[in-house]
Amino acid sequence: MKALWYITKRGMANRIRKALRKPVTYLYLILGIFYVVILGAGLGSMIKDAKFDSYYGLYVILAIMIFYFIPMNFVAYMKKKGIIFTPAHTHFVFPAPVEPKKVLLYMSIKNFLMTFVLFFLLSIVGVVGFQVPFGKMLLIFLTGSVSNFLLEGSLIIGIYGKENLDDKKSKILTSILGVILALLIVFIIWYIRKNGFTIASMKQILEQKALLMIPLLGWNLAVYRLILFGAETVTVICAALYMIVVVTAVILAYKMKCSGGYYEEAAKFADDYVEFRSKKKKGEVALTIGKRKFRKTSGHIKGSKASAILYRQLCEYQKERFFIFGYVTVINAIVAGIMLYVNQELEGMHPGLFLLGIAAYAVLLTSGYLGKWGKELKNPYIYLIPDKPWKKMWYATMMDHIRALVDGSVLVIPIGVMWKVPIWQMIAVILIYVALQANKMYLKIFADSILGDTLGKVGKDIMRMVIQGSTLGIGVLLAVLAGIFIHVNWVFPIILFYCVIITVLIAMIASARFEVLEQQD
Amino acid sequence: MLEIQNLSKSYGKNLAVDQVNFTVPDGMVGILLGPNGAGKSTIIKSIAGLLRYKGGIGIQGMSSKTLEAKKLFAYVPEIPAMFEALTVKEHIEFVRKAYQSTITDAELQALLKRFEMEDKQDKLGNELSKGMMQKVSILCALAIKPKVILLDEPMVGLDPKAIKELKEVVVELRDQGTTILISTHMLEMVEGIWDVMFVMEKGKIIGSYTKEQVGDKDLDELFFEMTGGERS
Repeated sequence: MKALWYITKRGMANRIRKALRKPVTYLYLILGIFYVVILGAGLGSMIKDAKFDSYYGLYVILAIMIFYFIPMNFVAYMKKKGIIFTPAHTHFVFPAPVEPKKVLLYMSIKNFLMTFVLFFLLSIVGVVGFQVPFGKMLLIFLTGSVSNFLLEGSLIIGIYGKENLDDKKSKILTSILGVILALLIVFIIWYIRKNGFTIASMKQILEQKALLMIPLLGWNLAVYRLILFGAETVTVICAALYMIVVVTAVILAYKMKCSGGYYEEAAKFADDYVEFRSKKKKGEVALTIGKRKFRKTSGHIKGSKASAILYRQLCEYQKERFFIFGYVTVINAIVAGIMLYVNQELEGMHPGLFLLGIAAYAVLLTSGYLGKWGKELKNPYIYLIPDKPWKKMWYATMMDHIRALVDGSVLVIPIGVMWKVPIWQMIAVILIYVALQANKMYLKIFADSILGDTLGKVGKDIMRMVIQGSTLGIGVLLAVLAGIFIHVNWVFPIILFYCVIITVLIAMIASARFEVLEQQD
Repeated sequence: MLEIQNLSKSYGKNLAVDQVNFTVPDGMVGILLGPNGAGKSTIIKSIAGLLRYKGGIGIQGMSSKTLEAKKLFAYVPEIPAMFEALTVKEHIEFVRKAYQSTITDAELQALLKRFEMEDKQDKLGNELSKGMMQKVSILCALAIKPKVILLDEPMVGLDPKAIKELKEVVVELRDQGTTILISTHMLEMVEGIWDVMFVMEKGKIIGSYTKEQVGDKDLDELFFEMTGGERS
């Protein structure tokens, strides 16, 4: 354990030393302190305004913490994704003569530290904001941090270290927990719908004795209830049960044999985690850690020269779980769903123009398409195809135009039908949506080709927004003038025509990126 | 001594290693050869304790899973991975502490000099090139003063000087009685330093030879004869 502590200590010291050399660290530090002070002051007054500044306020926070963090951590551990292992651990720590149980505890230090800090901050809030006496708060802090450390540590050893806990058993246990929590959520929603979302109704839920009887979660809450509000039969029994669970878990974890079988999953997690982090660094959407699963297809790649790029992408999309539909489709469907649900009457407003506004806002809201070509350009050897640069760009991005057409239709058609927007206007709005997405996409390539890595991702995004805002702003201005002085229906063709012209111009400049295929990390 | 007894490993329904048995005696260099997908990496990872497996692996007569066995065992993986925020010196220091190694500072400095890493000691893990990482990985393994050492494609990424030094180190370790197992595709790199070879194909050992049995026969000629491939 001394050796493990050594790498933690040295790693932290080196990181701090490196950070202190960068002026931006001090800026972040000042901003951080400022944020905490503002947040603290704001929360304090909010607590007082909501008349929440009693023991009960703290009890509510503790209940939310228990019912949120314990199940969340449990599920993460069950899926063997609760502890962050890196390939360096696989290389140096797993083969080393260190007890596998100790490796687990060492790897969980960050998790324990977070719980400790959380309870420390909560203790300050408890004494200052909720007027809990210091003695009681100290007891909550000790019980919370120590019992959590013991229980979570035992849980980690039990779940990771148990050699015969296979995937099937893990899934059953996770599912049972999921069902219990789902039932609880359904009960809370039902209760709130029946009694309204008030502090009184929240209080009533927390006063339910049945809540304290939920194994582990309720029993844990009972400990805090006992400290804050004194002894009651149910509270004492449930708190005692919690303590028994903690002690039993520690004994079982201590006695359990563990020869490091979990290293196999941990090593796999480490590799997946590296990929997850590198994707996030590049600004790609990385929702889960782990290998993606693909469908089997019998398709073959058609086309020749640059068009082969399109058919290759099509072949890849056919293997995706949701074909060409992505998170933009989901967001558009949600926006359309909300609009249909709200079913707002447009008093005196032009429905077509309002729809155009929604479509434009949806383009602004989503980060846009960074399709397969976006990732491929980072390592651009496959674009060495002997063809004209603009053709390569056109075929490489065509699938994203089709995706934009589909996603735009998902957004526009339901709302358009509801508001009885003329079909030609709906088509125009969909085409403007496609042109705006294309504009955004080509500007990304444009920013990449002229800025390279000089300004980083944020810098490129800012530049892209400035160019897009200024070029399209002129189009909007022209359309508004046409709408006021000629006829409102002219707005659609003018914006569409202008967007297409600007997008084609940007695309022509951006195609240079497909000529000089400089590798960018 | 390194003993592999009835080692089997499956990934789901795919049997990667099937009832493999072999032994590398003390003071011998064993080489594990085989085409891609033969199961070499699975065996190596099983010996290093990174996989669950069926069968037994013995290090100096002890189960490889025991802490006593691990203390005597060093592993150089195919792809080295460093702690980003630890320096070269700190990586080695961790190994010294974890293995309670008896290596002295003078011995360590000599090793660093030998692999031209003296002036890189304060470099952080994320500042190292792939070749340098491989050198750190080898240095850490040597800092253990192991009785059994496992090298998975150790020459990949190394410069010619480091390859020469590594080959000499392997011979020196063998002469000191250390058991060495090298898994590699670079047959010419192990020519002249091996004592016993194991050729794998489709998860099984399809042949094992000692240096004496092979005589003057070329290593890659023998390999292609056994695996049915053609010489390039």
